[in-house]
Order: sequence, then C-alpha cells, then structure tokens
Amino acid sequence: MTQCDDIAQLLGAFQDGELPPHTMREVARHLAGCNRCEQAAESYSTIGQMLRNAASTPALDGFASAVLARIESVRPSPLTRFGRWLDVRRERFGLVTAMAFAMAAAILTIVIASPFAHKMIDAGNHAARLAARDAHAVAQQAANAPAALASAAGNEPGAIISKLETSNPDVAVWSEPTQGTTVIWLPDQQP
Amino acid sequence: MIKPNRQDGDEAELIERAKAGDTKAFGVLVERYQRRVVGVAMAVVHDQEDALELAQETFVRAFENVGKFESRSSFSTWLYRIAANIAIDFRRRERRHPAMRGEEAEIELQRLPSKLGDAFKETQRGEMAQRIRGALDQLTPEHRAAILLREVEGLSYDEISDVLQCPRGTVMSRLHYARNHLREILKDLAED
Repeated sequence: MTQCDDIAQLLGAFQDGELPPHTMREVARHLAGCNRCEQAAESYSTIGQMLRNAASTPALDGFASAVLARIESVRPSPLTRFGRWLDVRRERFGLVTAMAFAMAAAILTIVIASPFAHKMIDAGNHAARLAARDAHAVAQQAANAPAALASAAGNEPGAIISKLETSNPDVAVWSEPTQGTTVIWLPDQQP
Repeated sequence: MIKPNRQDGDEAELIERAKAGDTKAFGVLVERYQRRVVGVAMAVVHDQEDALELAQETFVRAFENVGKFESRSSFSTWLYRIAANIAIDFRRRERRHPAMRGEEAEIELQRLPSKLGDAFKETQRGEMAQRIRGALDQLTPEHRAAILLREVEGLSYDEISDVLQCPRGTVMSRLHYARNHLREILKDLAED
C-alpha cells in the first residue's frame, strides 16, 4: 500500500477536522506535496457542497403547532403525568424526598377530591355539632339541677344527682355523665 | 466547531418545564430543533413528506419520554437519535412494502401536485440535482444517512455515531465509502 492509499483513507476525516492533531499535521504535509491527493480532497469538498446545495430546506410553517396539537390529542393519562411529575422530583431531590412529596400529594388529593372524604368530613362536623349541643344541654341541666334533684333524692344526704332523666314520677334515673354511671330508682311498691 | 454537550440555562429550564408537562415550553424546543430533526429523518428516508411526518412523530415521542431524558447528555443528540430510530423503523416497514423506485418514481413524482414535494423539488429541474439524487439512491441507507448527516446536517462523527448507534470507526468507514462512491458516480461534476 502506497502512502497515497493510506492518506486517501483519511482525507474525508481530515477535511472534517476529525483526526487527532498529529495525524492532521501528517495529512496536511502530504497534501502540500501530492497533487493527486490534493485533487481527491478537493473533489470531496465539491461533493459536500453539491449535497448541501441540492438539499432544499423544507417549509416548516405551522410545524410546531401541528406537533403540539398532536401531543394534546395523545396527552397521557393523569396517572402517567403524575409519574412524570414524580420522576422530575426524584431526579431533583432524591427518592426519599420524592416519595414524601408523593405521599403528601396523595393525601391532599384524597382530602380535597374524594367525595367519600367529603362525606366523612361532613359526618365529623355533624358529630361535633351534636356533641357540642349535648354538652351545652348537660351544662344547662346541671345548672338547674339542685332543686329538682334534691326532691328526687328524697333529701338523702351525700347523694349528688347531676341529671334527672325522666318525667315519670314513679321512676327516677340518676345519671352521672362524667363517670358514666346510671342508677335507676323504683319506689317500693305497696301491696 | 465546538458544540456544547450540555444544555445552556435556558434550555435546561425548558426541558424541566417540559418534564412537568408544560407543552408551551416544549413548543419552544420544537421550534429550536425542528429543522435539524427533519434533516435527520430526511437523511434516513430520503423523502421530504415522509421526513416531515416522521419528525412530528419524533417530537410526540420525545414529549412522552422527556421524563427519562438525563441532563448529562445533549438534548439535541437525544432528539436526533429518536428521529433516526423512528426513520429506520419506518424504512424497514417500507422495505417490506417497497415503494416505487427509480424512473417510475420520478415520473409519478412529477405527476403528483404534492404540497410539500420532495427534498430536491426546488432543484429537481436541474440536471445536477437529478444526478445527485440518483447517486444518493445508489448508496445503501446506512451510507446515505452517514453522508447526509455529516455534509448537510453538519453532525460531528461522535454525534453520527450516537444517532445511528454504531461505533465511531464505522462512521468513518461509511463516510469514506459514501464519498468515494459519490465521487465515482459524479466524477464529471466533481471535477468541473
């Protein structure tokens, strides 16, 4: 193989500037003294120029908007988008933080979006309202209790009756809400 | 020419927003790379209408997968690789159902009033453009893609290697073969 054959293998890469520096110098030195290789190099340049001239630039008006319209038409599901969102955070903050983000987001989503959660919240609010009302009623009765309770207890010393829960004069119910105790009184029946 | 391998701040921001599903940000990236992506597809399929369709598909797939893009590599090369893969798959499918070639295709092309036309429509009337087109058609798709990516799209050897997924040495040998072959076919034109 002659030196020209060796150089011919490198001419294209030489013109592209893709050879290591020392090989670039070697080829340049050869071309300076070899008319045949120099002509071959020139013909490579000419071919490159012809290819560029022949390749017309396509009309790209509206191309980007057509792409975006197509993207919208095949838009991924919310789940996929959530996965993508998670990927971004995992890349940025690491797996543990991303999982924490995900859990927080999931909880928030459930709380805000779930109809069941809305029912639960409503039920909770209702129970709280009832409890508040009962507490208020108990306090009211406790405040009014002494006179009524004294008569119901038959003035028995030491008996503390906080709530009298019946209107039936034959039965008395003693209830101590704070201790969860209930006593039912039935007067002695005369034969 | 030295090409940055990493994204500048603006591009990195656009990519992050696209990852979060922001189509407007992705639209800016489409505008930025559309010509090159069409060029890559053209280099493989050698038909402008197909290349435009494949370029659209490239961007749609890129948007779907942008979450997997790692900022360590170049976004442009990542895009071109998707474009090349889609175009290569398309070409394989087409090979199973071969389209008209050669003279028959030329006659049909002139008859069809295509809006987009062909890559060489503007210069098709000239003998030189026809000669070049004919010469390119004689190359294998691999050689044609390599020479067009280099000469028309201006990709570096490393980028071509990345896009066509072949070793750098293979890129060099494909280019060498393609240049010699074109030089032989277009001898009279190249030496004028």
